[in-house]
This record gives sequence, C-alpha cells and structure tokens, in this order.
Amino acid sequence: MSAQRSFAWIGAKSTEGFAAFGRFSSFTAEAGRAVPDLKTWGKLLFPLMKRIGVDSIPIALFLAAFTGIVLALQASYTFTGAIPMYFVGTLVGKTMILELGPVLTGLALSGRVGANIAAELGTMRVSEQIDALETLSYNPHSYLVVPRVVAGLLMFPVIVVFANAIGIVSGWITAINLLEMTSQEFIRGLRLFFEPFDITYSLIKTGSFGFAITLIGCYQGFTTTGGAQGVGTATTRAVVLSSMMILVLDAFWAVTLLQ
Amino acid sequence: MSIELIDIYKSFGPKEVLKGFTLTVPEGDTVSLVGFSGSGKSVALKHVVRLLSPDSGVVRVDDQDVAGLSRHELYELRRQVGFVFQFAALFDSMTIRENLSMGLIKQGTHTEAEIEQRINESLNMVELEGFEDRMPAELSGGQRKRAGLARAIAFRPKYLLYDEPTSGLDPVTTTVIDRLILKMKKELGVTSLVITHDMKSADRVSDRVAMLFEGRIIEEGTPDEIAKSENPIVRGFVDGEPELVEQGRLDQ
Amino acid sequence: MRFKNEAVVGAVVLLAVILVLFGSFWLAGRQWGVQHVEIVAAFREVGELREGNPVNYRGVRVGQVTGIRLGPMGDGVFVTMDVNEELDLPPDVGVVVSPVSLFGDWQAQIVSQSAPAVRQLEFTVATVPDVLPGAALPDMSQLTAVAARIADQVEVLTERVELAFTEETAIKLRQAVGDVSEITAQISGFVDQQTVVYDQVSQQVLVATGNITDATASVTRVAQDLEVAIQAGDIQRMMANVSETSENLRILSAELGEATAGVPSLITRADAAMISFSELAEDVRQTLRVLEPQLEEIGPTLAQARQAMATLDETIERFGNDEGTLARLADDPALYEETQAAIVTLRRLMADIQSEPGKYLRNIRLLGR
Repeated sequence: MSAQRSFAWIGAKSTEGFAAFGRFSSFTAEAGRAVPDLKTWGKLLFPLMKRIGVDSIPIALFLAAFTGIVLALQASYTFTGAIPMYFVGTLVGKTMILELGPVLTGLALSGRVGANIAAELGTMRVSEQIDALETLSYNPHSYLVVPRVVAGLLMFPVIVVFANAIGIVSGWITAINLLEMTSQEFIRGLRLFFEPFDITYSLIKTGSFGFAITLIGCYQGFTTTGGAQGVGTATTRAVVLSSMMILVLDAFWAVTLLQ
Repeated sequence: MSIELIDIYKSFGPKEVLKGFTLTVPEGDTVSLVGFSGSGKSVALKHVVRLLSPDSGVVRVDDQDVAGLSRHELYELRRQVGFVFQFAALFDSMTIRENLSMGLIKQGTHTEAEIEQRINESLNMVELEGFEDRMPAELSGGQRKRAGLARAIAFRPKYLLYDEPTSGLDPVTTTVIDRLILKMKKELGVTSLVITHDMKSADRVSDRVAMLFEGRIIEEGTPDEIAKSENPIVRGFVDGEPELVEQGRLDQ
Repeated sequence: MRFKNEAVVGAVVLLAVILVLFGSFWLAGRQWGVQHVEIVAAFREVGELREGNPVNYRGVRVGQVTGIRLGPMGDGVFVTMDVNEELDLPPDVGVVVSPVSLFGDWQAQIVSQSAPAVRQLEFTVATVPDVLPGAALPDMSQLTAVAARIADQVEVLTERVELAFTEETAIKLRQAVGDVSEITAQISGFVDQQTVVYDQVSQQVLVATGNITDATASVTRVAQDLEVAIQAGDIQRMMANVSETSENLRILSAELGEATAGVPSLITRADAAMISFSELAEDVRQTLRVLEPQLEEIGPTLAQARQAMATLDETIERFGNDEGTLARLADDPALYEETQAAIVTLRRLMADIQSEPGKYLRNIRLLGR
C-alpha cells in the first residue's frame, strides 16, 4: 500500500514537473509570437534598456573591480615564484572574460533585474493590471514580456563588456601596485593566449543569461497568484531559478563552444 | 446585441467553480449578478471577454461565439466591452491621463487631439475633471473606481462589465457610483453586467437580478421579484441570515 | 524623458561597442597606423605554435601569426604571418619557430638561413612560389629528458663494469667513452640550435657547465687510469672514478633540466666543454688503436681479437648512427649479445696479455711518454 502511495507520489511529481515545463514552454512560445508586434513594444524598449541595462552598470562594475583585485592577488599567491609573474595577466584576463565577468554579473543581475521584473509583473498580475491590459486590447506578452526580454538580451552583453574591462584594469592596477609587476609584464601575459573568440564567447554567454533572467522573471511574474505573499514567492523563485539557469547555461556554452 | 453565457462549466484544478452557469443580459439592460464572496461571480464575468475560457459551454457577445474568435477579432470585440475592475486595476506607473489614453492609442484611429478630448469627456462623466495628471496612488478608493470606469468608457463601448464597483466604499460613495452606473446606461445606452454582493446597490441599478449559488443561477428576476423570493438561500442572502442559507443548502 | 532614456542607452551601447572593438584589437596585439603585409612559410611541423604568437626579426617584434593550416597533401604546415610593411627581408630569408619558455608560448623568427646560429637546421624547400622556407626547433624539455636518460644508462653501465672481470672493463669503458662522445656531439648540436633562441645567461647553467667540465676531467682521469690499470691492476680506483663520472653526468643533466626552465642559453659555454669531452673520447680511442698493431704480431689469438675488435667498432658505429646509443645497448638483446661475444674474445686476449705481459706493456709505456 505504501509502495503504491510512493509510486503515486512520484507519478504526481513528474506530471507536475512536465506540466510546469509545458506551461513555461507555451509561455515562451506565446512571447515568441508577440515579437513581430514591434509597434507595441518598440517604444517601451529604450526606457527598459535604461532600467535593466544602464542602471545595472554600477553594481556590475563594483563586483568586477573587486574580482579583478582578488584574481590578481590569488594568481600571484598560487604561482609562488615557480611560474613567471606575467602569467598573472593571463589568468586575470582569461578568467575575467571567459567566466567571472559574465557569471558574477549574471548572478548579481538575477537578483537585481530578475527579482525586479518578477515583483513588478507579479504585482500587476494580482492587482488585475495584466487583465486590464487585455481588456484594452493589448497583448500583455507584447507589452510586458517582449520588451523586457529584448532589453535583457541586448543590454547584458553591454554591461559585461564594461565589467570585463573594469575587472582587467583593477587586476592590472593591483599587479603594478601590490605585486611589483610592470605594466609591460602584465600586458604581455594578458596578450599571451588571447583569442578574439574569447570576447565573442563572453558576449554570447551573457546574452543567453540576459534572455534567461528576464524570461524567467516575466514568467514568474505572470504566473503569480495569491496577493502580496504570492508576489514574494514569485520573486524568490525567479531569483533561484535564474541563478540555477545561469550555471546550467554556463556549463552548456562551455561544452558546446569551448571543445 | 446581448451577452449570453450558456451552460458554462469551469474548474480550477480540483475546484469546480461554475457548474452549468447560464445567464443572458438583454440589449440595453443592466443585470446584476449577486452571490456570496468566492461563489465565482468574477470568474463568470471574465468569461465574457475571454480573460478566462470555459471548460465547456458557450459564450456569445454581440452575436459572436467568443471562443471561436481570432486574436484580432477578439481585440475588436474587447473594444466593444468596457471592464471595470474591482480595485480599478489602474496602471500605477502612469498618470490618469496615460491610463485613459492606453486603449485609444492602441486602437490607432484617433488623433492626439481626439484622444485628449475623449479623455476629458470620460473624466467629466465620472466627475473627475482636473485629475488627469495625478498618479493612481494619489487617489482615494472611490476616485480610483471612478477613474477605472472612465478608462472603461473611453472607448465608448456598447457593453460595460462591472466587477464589484461598490465594494469597500462608504454608503455615500456607493450611491455616487450607483448613480454613475445609471448615468452610463442613460447617456451611453450601454448593456451592463454588474457583479455585486450589495443588494441595495443591485436594487438601485438593475433591470434584472440573478443570484449565483454553487456554480449556477438559482433565481433570476426583477429586483422586486428577488426581494420577495421564497427560496431560502435567496432570502438568507438578501436578509443576511446564515441559518436560512444553511437550511436551503441542506434542502437542495 | 523618453528622449533622455534613448540618449543614455545609445551612449552606453556605443561606448560598449567601441570598448569591444578597441579591446580585442589591443589584446590581440595589433598596432594602429602600420600597414601589414602577409608572408607565408612552410614547415614540416610547428610544435606548439598558435595563431596570435609573435613574429620577431632580430629580436624585435614585427608582427604576428595569423593562420596555421596543413598543406594540401598533409606533408607540411603553412603558417601565415602579418608583418610590418616596411620590413626588409634578408636575401636567404627563412622562418624558425621555437619555444619562448617552457610554458607553451612559441614564436616565429625571421632569420637569414646562412646565419651561423641556424646553419645546421634543415629548412623546408617550398614548391609553391612566395612561400618562405621554415624550420622548427625541438622543445628544450625533450632535450633535457634525453640527457637524463643518458646519465642513467652510463650509471647502469658503470655498475656492470664494477661487477665485471678486469679485462672486460677496458673494453666496456672504451665503448662507454665512445658512446658518450657520440652523445656529446648530439647534445652540442642541440645546444648550438638552442643558443639561437636564448640570449640570457643564468647562474644555474653556469654551475651546470662547471659540472660538465668536472665530468670531463673525471673522464680524463679515468682514461689515464686505464693505462695505469693495465699496468698495475689498480682497478678499484678506476671504478670509483667512473662512478663519479656518471654521477656527475646525472647531476649535470638534472641541472640542465632545471636551468633550461629559466634561461638556458649560455650553453655556448657548455659547448666548449663538450668539445673537450669529445676530444678526450678520441684520445682514448687513439690509445687503444695504437695498441692494436702490436697485437697483430702475436699469432692466431690476435687474429681473433682483431676480428672481435672490428665487430665492436662496427657495433659502436651503429650506436653512433642510431639515436638511442646506450639506450639501445640496454634494450636491444641482439646488439648486447654481439657485444658480449666480442668481449669474450677480447677476454682471451687479455688472459694472454696477463700471462706474457712483457710483450705488450713495453708498447704501452712507450705510448705514455
């Protein structure tokens, strides 16, 4: 009897899982169908690009600056004289561009942007503003989802460009001031294994993070139920899911593009 | 040119909300749908403009089967139907003017001057002149409801759907709103479906009253007929007697 | 308000685009305002060379590697490089690719093929016009690994010699010295090539060079002892010297390994040491060769001995030609058997010498003077 119950439990959980995935997929498809409706979302794009993108730059730069300092110091600590110091530059540059710039920024912004979107749309959902949009003949996907996702897709790479640059510069300054390296040494290491593809990789990865964070935020907001508490739950879930998604995507891109 | 909801069934998960719900709002009439909190009145109302779709049953508005409309046709229909939400559902990032202009801009057939004029007319009608540049958060509950109504009528719709227009308002403000509902009917000639649990208000505004209980209409008639109904549930509802309602439930 | 948003977003996006373009251009080490021309060189193989590695001419950076692809027949590698336009290429231009450090960073150098440093390298001959000849230097780490292996082999041999019978010792020692001289020649060959790449001197390499000189001195002592040993039978002392020699060699190669990690260039000095090492080997050979005509006079045993000697020479020559040298002796049983047979024959000769020392020792003494 209890075996039957546990099977039933597993069955119910998997059905639930599939149903949730199905709902997310049809939400995404609905948003995809709303993309051609440029007339509705086009004029909303710039304010959102400012809010999601430009306003996120300070926090991203703050993170990147400290990461660059730590990377440089840890690199020199690890090398302990056995490896030439100019490899500090290599390590800071490569790690910042390929991994830490995109991922740390992504994680920080999943909190800032993902939570913001989920809370905003969640409140609109529970206060029937999304229904109101529908009664005014707006497609809420065109009006709310598409401009946010597009803004995320476009602006995240922009943010990460600045984050990467600041991270490398702060690592550089650290190397000169605390590690007694010369600029020439640092630049030599920086250029040693640099490939222009590194930057492409970084930007592709970040674009996908922006897409995932905003889409998950919108989905959680749209499916909010149950008042203020529901908005809280949706917000938390948006942050957790998009953080997880960032790490999954990070591994995905490493497997597909770096092999 | 009426609103018809025929044999509607609707469940949310295991919870059956509407079980064979049938209601007609004849052209030009105002029908009040009354019932207990959580009885599914708002659910029924949202079916009219396909904010919700029935599990089975037919919704006909303006002689069209709502379920069969394309997205474009649905948007055309929604311009004919003004929806006044329970808590007004004003977009709180926008001024009242922007709230009112949203639908008109989307329609794309009006010039800016026409839109401005339409906004002024609508605000005049709900007696909110001069509030154009306020934010929704700066308005009182009653003002917000009036602003919501103004947004709903900015389209000049043929139908108006009111979701609890008087809930949470003081008696005086309630009367003001009720008068507005009557004024809309008189000046705009709209067909209206009003959801309320306030019998006094239903008395004042409606040509007919229908009572929803456990997923279907249990009694329908003029306000007078409802007031004199022998059905214990209706009696219990009108007089506010839980015991009568409980007894009626057992009788069923 | 909206206009302001657009302006801010536009400015930020524009700045990011500029940053990306400027950044990748700068990080890739390109220069502004310098016109580049493309040159192509053909190689048999290119080691760890990668796109983006620097191209140097006389130690000055003049461009970078932009493309590496296999030849159409798969029998070579074409390397494309962007270099400064105003660069005047030497008449017999060639391109040498080589490691910069032991960490996998490589470079391409534009050289004149007749420059002394690269003369021994085998440049490709391009069949396609406008393709420059190229050559690759081996990785320094491979070289040190070979040196370490040689030292081990010498040590094993010394142990065997110590256990072996006295007459045999002389022969094996000669063999060892012969091998060492071959290896020395090989090492100095590598060193010649490597000196092109490294232009700095490190203390460690100086020490290593000192050790090579010590080792050479030891071997010289051993060679001198050889004569004395046959005369006086003082084999123990000689063995000690041989052990020391091989130990020195082992330390030397280990140090060479460490030294090359940093700056392995002044092996030019090692070169000189190697040459004296090689000369010494020749001396030992000479000594034994002088001994040979004397043997000829001594009847049928000596004819056999001569035959054995010839086999031994042949064997040693084969060691010299094959790359493994001593390693082959340990690994190839047939070769070892052959050597053993030769040694047995020679042992008989030695027995003869011991029974009638007068016949031979006179000549050796003469040689000593």
